[in-house]
Amino acid sequence: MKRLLCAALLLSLLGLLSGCGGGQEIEGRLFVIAMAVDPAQDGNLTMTVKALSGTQGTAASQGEEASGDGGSMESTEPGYVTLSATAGSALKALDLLSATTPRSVDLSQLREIVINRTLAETDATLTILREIHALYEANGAAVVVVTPDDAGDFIRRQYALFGVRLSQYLEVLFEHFAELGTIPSGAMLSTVIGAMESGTIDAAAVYAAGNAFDATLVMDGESPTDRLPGHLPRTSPAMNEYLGSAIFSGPRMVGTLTGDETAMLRLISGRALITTLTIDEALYQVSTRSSIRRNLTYEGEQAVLGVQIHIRMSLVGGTQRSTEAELAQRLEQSAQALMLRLQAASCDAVGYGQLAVRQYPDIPSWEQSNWEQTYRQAQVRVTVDVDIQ
Amino acid sequence: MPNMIPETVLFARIRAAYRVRAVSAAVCVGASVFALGAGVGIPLCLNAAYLAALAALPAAGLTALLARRVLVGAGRFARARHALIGLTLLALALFAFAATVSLVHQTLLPLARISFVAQVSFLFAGLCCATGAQGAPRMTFALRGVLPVGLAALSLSTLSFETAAGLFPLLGTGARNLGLSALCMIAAAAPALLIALPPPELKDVPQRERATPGAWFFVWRVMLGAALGVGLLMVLSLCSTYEGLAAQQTWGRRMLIFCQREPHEGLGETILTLLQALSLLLCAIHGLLGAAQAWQAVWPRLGRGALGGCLLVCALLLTALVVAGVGIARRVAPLLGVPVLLFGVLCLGRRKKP
Repeated sequence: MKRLLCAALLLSLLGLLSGCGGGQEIEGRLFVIAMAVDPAQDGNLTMTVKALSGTQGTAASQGEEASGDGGSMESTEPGYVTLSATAGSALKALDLLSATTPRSVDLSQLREIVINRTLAETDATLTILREIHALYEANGAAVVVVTPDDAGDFIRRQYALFGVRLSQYLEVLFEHFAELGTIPSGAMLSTVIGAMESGTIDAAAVYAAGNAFDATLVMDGESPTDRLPGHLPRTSPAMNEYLGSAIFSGPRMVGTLTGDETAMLRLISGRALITTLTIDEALYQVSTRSSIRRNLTYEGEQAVLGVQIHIRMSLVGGTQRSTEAELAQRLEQSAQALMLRLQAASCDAVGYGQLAVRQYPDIPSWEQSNWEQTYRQAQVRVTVDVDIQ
Repeated sequence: MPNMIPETVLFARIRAAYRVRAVSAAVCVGASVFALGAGVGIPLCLNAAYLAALAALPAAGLTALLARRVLVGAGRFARARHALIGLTLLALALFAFAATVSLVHQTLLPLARISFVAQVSFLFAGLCCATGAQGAPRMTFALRGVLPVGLAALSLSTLSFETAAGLFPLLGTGARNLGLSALCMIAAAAPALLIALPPPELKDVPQRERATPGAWFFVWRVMLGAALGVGLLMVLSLCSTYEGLAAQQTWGRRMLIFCQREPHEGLGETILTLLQALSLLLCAIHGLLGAAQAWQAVWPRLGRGALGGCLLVCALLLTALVVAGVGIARRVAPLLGVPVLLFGVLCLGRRKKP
């Protein structure tokens, strides 16, 4: 009897497990690699996506436009297709894309979300990112990029400069710039959403722009990466430049940081991946025994945002032209300037709020504490100690 | 000449059977602590849900202690007690099914129909129950190392240790909600009632009562299971800020261990979610088997029909939940604390003289 029951249950399982579980063919989905969001007329949004087409040749009937609210499809390179749609919200635009292409939009392979700066400076960014992440199950590790250019054009001109897979190209690109420290850590979609929602830390996204290669201005005496992208004196087949950060206060973008300022932000936040430093044409190896400490203290009613940086490094190339004290002073000034800049923009990208919240027993008392004002009025104290071996 | 097993060997076998029972109860307690914490604790006190879940440790330990007394014949109203255990474990099985369906449907199989997920889960459980009352406990015993170590290792590997920001503010939404949540977490001790039922293979062994291990034998295992459940809730707090937890509206998504600061979706996260689902399914299976055994003790004439009856009732109620919304199960689950308290009252009394 027991065997009969087991056999009956197994047979019924066969029926249920044979393809009735909502499985999808790979060719049945539109796998989006990069996505761009731009503001359109009358408060609408234009969503542009670059997706795998699965073909080797270019798509047929280029420039064909759909009627109605403006869905359009283009092809810029073999293997990929660029589509766009305009609607009242990000969700409606994605729904329109799904409705006007013979595939369901799948954001599980998303590598990059590019947002136009005008849009990023409004409160709409958080809603857009939430809708993309929660309702369309977007890849939480996709990098959020802000650009002053048209975001759709930004991803249209993007292609795999090295290799053939745009997804791999973008992954390696962001890893490489993260190692250099010129883009912020924590620029991933889920991290940015978490920081925008949180009252204890603010978000920082990657800042990028296209270069028309018509600028030859070289800033003498300045670090080459102490600039914003878009007008760097270089030429390359790839126009897009990723350098620096877009900083947010809550859901709204409030400013930018150059590449060097971003590297300093990573250092202060304890998220620097750099192992070497070039200062005055001398190359230094940074020791793993270096330490960075942040603390939040109170002198009477006023908060003091403290950073203690202790860097141990050894000279591995070139000639040391500055003493330890001079290097320390220079780093101290840079760190101080950055902290004051973040304070003025009400952007707590370093995360002092995470230290402040520990002093409150529960959420209601923390939310009544008016931390934003305390942060803006706090004193900044940076001490740097450089030890060259 | 009669075939006599030496008493020492017999006692060792009896102890081994009780060890399997204790491990089953521990796994079920851990699973129910986690599911109840994610379903009720997090909406009430957000990041402090793990603190509220600490109340489940003494509750589970005490329930295990009282259940062990019942094993050796203490307490009054034996039939009423078994009926209460039967009803509670059946309700627990339903709760565990609802949790499994929520978790799997909202994380692993978002494109599938919820009814399909419920059917497959129930059939898996049904197959395990059909192997006999010893099959599932032995499977659980075999996984006693892999399951908790796998859960702990994979969940810790998803974390970012840059800051313990997710734990603060420590009291979450406030002391009042924390207290209320702690009261609700008493319901997570319900699986410890399994200990009150002797292992089926020892049903007709006369030396069973003499060889029953001491209370601590069961209590520490059950409390360890509960502690693992609390640990996983703590990991949920570490993965996100309280604002992120508040933004999670669905039960299944709340149970997903996904670190906002270091997102990496892949095989590790899938395996972790599968282990969570397996733990919840094991809780459902043991609930069904325990309920069947308890009802058999109330009405011995039921025989094997008790298991069939429990399966049928559970199937009907699960179907009703799927239609009405599985979220109902998590809202009603704290009521499981009532039979646990009633059981405590029924267990009070003199120990029966042999």
